[in-house]
Amino acid sequence: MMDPSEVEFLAEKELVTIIPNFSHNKFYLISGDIGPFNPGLPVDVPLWLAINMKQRQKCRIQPPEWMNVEFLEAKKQEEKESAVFEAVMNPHFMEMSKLLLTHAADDITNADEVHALIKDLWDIRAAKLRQSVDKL
Amino acid sequence: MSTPDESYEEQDEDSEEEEVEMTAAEALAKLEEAWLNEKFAPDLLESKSDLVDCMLEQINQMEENLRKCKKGDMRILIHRMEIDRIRFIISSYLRRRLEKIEMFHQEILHRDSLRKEDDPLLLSEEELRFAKDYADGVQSHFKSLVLTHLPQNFQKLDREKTAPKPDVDSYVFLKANRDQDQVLIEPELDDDPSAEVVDLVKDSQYIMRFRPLAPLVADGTVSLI
Repeated sequence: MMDPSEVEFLAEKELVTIIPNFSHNKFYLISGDIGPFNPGLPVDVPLWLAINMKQRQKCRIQPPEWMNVEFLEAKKQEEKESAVFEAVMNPHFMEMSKLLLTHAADDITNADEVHALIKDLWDIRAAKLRQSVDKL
Repeated sequence: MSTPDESYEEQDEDSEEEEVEMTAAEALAKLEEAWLNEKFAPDLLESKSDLVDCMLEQINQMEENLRKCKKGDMRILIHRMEIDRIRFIISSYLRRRLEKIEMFHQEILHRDSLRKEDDPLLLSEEELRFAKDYADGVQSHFKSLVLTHLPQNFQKLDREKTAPKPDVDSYVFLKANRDQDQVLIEPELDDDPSAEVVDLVKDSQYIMRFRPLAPLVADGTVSLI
């Protein structure tokens, strides 16, 4: 029903924090105002903009607080021990991680490990989903 | 980078004042929701052409403003990207509606003719025209291809029997936007007497048949996902 690219499109609306290396006044976007931008000062922008700026080397992206090995290890453990779906850190964590890991891997500490953990988490949840469908 | 372009900012504030009842950001959020609902609903939903028009107007105004900006201004690129994203939503939304209109044109036209004066619009003007043209085309195609070659008493097409109808009993995924108690779920089969009552809890996700949910989708109590 829904294209993966469309899910990604939705995920790109999530806000992430970037650290710009330029200064600029506020942008008056239709979806709301963002900025102002000052070098070195963190500011929240939608993911699509963050990735675009990253590609043009205008900023560093600060990974979301859940995107680190420690937190994900704990999350994975929790998910494993529970029979039901645990609340996730972000409804679009899968797409966000994919986008961030592709475009801004150098801003994420231990990117490979994070990648593996996210995939584990996903697999555990997918297995639960299959199980509950089987029961149905 | 560059000094703020005054006309650019003024214009932007103007546009916000015009939209007294709704800011542009809210309209966009509404449109996005309408897009997703339309995408997942088996049936054609109410027309939201006012939202589409509002967003198109915003885009045009923004493009107008962008023309006044200096070349190489970083704003141009960023606003362009946003405009492209909004355009994508609008076209995907309208395309999905046209798909449904093509598929169920007889049913939809029939329903539109039954609509009372103050009921919400099912089709926008353009969509209505499209549906009629399409219906005429299909009709004359059937006629010239097959029906005229059949005996007199087989030449009529019965709408009730032949027209495809949306399967409103298909299951959809949904998320509740607010608590809603006592949603009556009628039994799926007519001979099954057990009607069920479900309480929806805010932010929870469900999978249910579309039919009992249709009014809740229309008034925004639930969103399809």
